[in-house]
Amino acid sequence: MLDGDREPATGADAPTFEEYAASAWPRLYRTAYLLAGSHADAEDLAQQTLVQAFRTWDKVSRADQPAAYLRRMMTNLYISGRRPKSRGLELLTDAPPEPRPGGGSALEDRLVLWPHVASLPPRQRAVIVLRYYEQLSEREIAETLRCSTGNVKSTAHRALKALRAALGSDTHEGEEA
Amino acid sequence: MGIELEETLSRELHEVAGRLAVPPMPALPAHDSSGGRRPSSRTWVPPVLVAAATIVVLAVVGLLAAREGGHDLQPAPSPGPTVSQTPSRAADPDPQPHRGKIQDPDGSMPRTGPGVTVTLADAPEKVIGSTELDPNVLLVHQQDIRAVMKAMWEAGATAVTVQGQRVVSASDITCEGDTVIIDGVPYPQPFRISAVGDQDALLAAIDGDPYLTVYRQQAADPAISVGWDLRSEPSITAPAYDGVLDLDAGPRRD
Repeated sequence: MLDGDREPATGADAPTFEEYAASAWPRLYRTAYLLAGSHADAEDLAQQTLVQAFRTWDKVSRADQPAAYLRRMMTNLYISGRRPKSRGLELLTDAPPEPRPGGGSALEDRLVLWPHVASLPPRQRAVIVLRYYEQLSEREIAETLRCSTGNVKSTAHRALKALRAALGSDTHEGEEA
Repeated sequence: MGIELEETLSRELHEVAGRLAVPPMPALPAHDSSGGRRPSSRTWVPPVLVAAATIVVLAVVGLLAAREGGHDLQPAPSPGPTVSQTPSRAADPDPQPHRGKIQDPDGSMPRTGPGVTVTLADAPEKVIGSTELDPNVLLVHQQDIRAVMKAMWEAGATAVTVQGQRVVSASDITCEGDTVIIDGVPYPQPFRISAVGDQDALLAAIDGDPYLTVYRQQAADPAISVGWDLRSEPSITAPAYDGVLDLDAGPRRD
């Protein structure tokens, strides 16, 4: 459930698109940032999602959970939008090919996993964000991504394995998954 | 390790998301709401049309630019493909009005010479802690840094550095929480942006930039007091750019 406490009621007094968009925007933006990894891309992604929701608002507003509907739109936009160019454009990624010199800021030191989340392939990253930020169940993630729960499990497993490996190479603990 | 990894992951994702300065929601297309919640189709411009119109405009601008600037057309520094704007400051009218002025587009040569340094800093904690304003105006954002860089490049700067690191057209500058990441290296504020070049031209360009004018007004406002410092320096050394230049979608030199 996305932002249950702030989600406008559905049904007879369904919200207008403006009302809904205004209340959903902060959460939408935060999730978009976790997916896209930069403010500019996050704004694009969240806006594209709103545009899509606007065009199909009749359908979205009648859904049991408009939030889940928007989440699916955004995840799909993110995954499909990334596919063609993800290797071509070096700009606006969080993990450039240059080696990072040691001695980052306190923030960078504290966040051990987030930098590696950015280097996951889009689908794995989406599963990680849906599971550990949106706190969705495997079944909900499967519905969001329109795939089987088995597929979600294996994708999550691969993502965690990659993160663990990245962490291992950071700290030289060398733990194998 | 499994549980711990997942807990860390959840905590970090929430931390990153929680610390974000969420920009205001973009303006929604206006529509007649009297008929219910379905937007009127007349006011809705399909994205395809917008894209087509954008392409036409870009093509015309490109043709004009090629015709006018043909004699000294060189790769120009691009501030980046996407710059998010804080609406509270002046909108950027044209991200690249001065193509062709850069003499050393790929930054492969170190440069030393007179120049100017601009230092941008977040407002004092005291002000941030007590403000009732949108905290975004109290903080330095990537677009503020880009605005300074752009003014410097427009003034014909031969080299620009941020925190002493050379930046070029291919440089990637992004906000990440309270740090700014320049080509993969995170830096805390305050942000020092230096340019080697004609000091008078640099000062004039920085002085005349509408975005930076708004920034300076906000810096002078005690309720905002976001940090601004501008000084001329007799000698600035800009190291050579050491990152990759080989972007598939970047400007190239033949």
